[in-house]
Amino acid sequence: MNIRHSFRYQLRDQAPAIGVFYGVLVGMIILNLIFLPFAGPNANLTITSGGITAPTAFFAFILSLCAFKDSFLMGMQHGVSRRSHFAARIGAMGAVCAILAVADEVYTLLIALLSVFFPKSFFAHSLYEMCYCSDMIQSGRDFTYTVNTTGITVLLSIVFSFFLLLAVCAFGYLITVLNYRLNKTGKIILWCGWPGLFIAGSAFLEANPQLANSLVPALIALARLTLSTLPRLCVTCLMLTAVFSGLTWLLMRRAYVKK
Amino acid sequence: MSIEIRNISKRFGEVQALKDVSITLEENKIYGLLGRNGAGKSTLLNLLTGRIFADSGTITLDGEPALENDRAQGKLFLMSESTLHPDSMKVRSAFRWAGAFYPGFDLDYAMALAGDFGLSTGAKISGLSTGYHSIFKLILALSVNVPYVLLDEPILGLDANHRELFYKRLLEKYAEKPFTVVLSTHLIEEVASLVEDVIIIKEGRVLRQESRDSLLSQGYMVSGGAAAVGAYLQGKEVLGVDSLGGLRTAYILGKPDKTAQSAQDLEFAPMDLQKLFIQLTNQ
Amino acid sequence: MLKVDMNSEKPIFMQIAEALEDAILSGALPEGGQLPSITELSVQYTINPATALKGINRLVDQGAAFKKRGVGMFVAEGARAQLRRQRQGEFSRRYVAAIVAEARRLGLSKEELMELVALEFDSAGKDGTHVD
Repeated sequence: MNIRHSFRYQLRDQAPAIGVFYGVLVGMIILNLIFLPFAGPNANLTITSGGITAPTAFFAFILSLCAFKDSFLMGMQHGVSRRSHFAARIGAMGAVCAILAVADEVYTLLIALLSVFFPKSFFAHSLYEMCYCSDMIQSGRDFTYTVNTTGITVLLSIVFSFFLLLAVCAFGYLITVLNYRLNKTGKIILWCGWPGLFIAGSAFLEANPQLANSLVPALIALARLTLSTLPRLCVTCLMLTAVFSGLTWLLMRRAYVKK
Repeated sequence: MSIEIRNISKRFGEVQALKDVSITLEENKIYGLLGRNGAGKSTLLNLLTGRIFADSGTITLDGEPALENDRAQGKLFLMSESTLHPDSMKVRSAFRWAGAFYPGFDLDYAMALAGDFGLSTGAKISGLSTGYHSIFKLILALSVNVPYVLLDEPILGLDANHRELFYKRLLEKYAEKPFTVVLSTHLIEEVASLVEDVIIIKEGRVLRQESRDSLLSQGYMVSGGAAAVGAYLQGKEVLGVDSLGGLRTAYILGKPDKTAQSAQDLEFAPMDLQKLFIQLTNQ
Repeated sequence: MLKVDMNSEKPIFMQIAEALEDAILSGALPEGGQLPSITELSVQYTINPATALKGINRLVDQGAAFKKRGVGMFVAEGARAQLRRQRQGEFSRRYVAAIVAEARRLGLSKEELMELVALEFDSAGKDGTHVD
């Protein structure tokens, strides 16, 4: 019972931001259309969307960073157990990612439709198509690529986006819950610490080139293993989501209410 | 049907906020939860609703564990000093969400109360003054219709008219359909007549837990000349003594002994709840 | 009706009981008539209903009121006379003792006290108000 209400609340909480995001995207299309008749022959008025899901993933990450505190406290005010809140979050996360994935594809198709009428001004492919359906040809310093799209890519794009966004949302949420649980000292250690670790790590690699040389092929192999095909990507993202969510639960189950 | 709090202890860093506290909150009673600043009242209420976790002890509500239990927590409603609503939420919205989470919530009653108190339902919660923030909280509490309602400092910032109105509405509601109310407050004088039972918390421990009438019958004041009072005090449990020139007033635990020889020239008076509370909790 | 005095030596329920007794004696609450409900009393005086109930039950125990199931509390027949007798019996303990104690404190003799009482009785208004 509480899960359902908490789910509704969390969705409502995130809805305005999603509205603004797509509002801006559609707004840009409309602006482009408005100015098109006035454009001179050399004007460069184009909307090129080579994978809108990349910025959407960034947006989803930020969205998840803001998704915890208000709805957690609201739940606590109304007697929602942490367990129910977490379950509702999983549901809401899935719903949001599904909405974003479908919306992204609708956006891409909209631009594709416009490119039929205004071939010089609109150009779009989904991120899935760019990653998995395209061939890149390098001649000298130039890259050209061709995208092989078929009818089924629309559905597969949605699937791809969904799982990618799921992992991103789960990661963002984990970070915000972690941040909530930490006290001031902990926050300083973490947020100053991880870039520091990064810098230290890359300095270490620079000092040990043989280690770097064996590390890079290993990373490429890992990427190939986990991301080379759509099914592999989906499984990888699902696993990441599960791990991030599991860690989130461990942090959430002892979260105190603090205003 | 009751809330059983057994051997609850809670420490915050150096401070032992609650030590081995055991309390029973019975159904359909109005309780006064009294204690000085920092005594542990808010901590206790936060523990009851699972907002924070106890170091040890158990809490059961109507026979089942109270914590991380949606069914049990659905019978409870706590309005703490700061509400947990998002800052930008409007009063009307808060009412609607309360209605969503608590099926028994009476929206019409809430709106009527908002009218009575002069609370604008279109206002943002964060924009309300202290008094109107309290009014918002108590309207929610009076409209939610759950068996156990906990109010932490409900009359903070309320003017005399609104306080009177609140007491009347509370009693009307209670008379119409009894429920358990816990009023945690410093303003002891005013709630003294409302409550049936009193729980006094002192430095994290339960000092007293009994009916108000029983508690009041246990204390009295005696005043007169210093010598006469001094003589009377022999063998009595004295809570405190005030001096004013040659006059002395003593606060005593027990029943007045007016037949005693030393009582002849002394004036006896009952202690009201606030005085009794002060004397019991003074260090 | 009186305001409840939190500082009085009398517990609240006693004050309620006595206020109701006064009303019965004065005829404001007629015999056979209905007493104010617990809700009315509790809201009017902002006191806990349990306290109001205790006050009413005191009247019931004395036989001055009774409960009609499903309807409410009513003043018993003969309650007025009964309360009057009761109060007369308590008169000495309640009022006379205090007058005597105060008179003694002021150093008045028994004769002086009796004179004062007679004077007051003769000059006071019908409803007992003092006339200077």
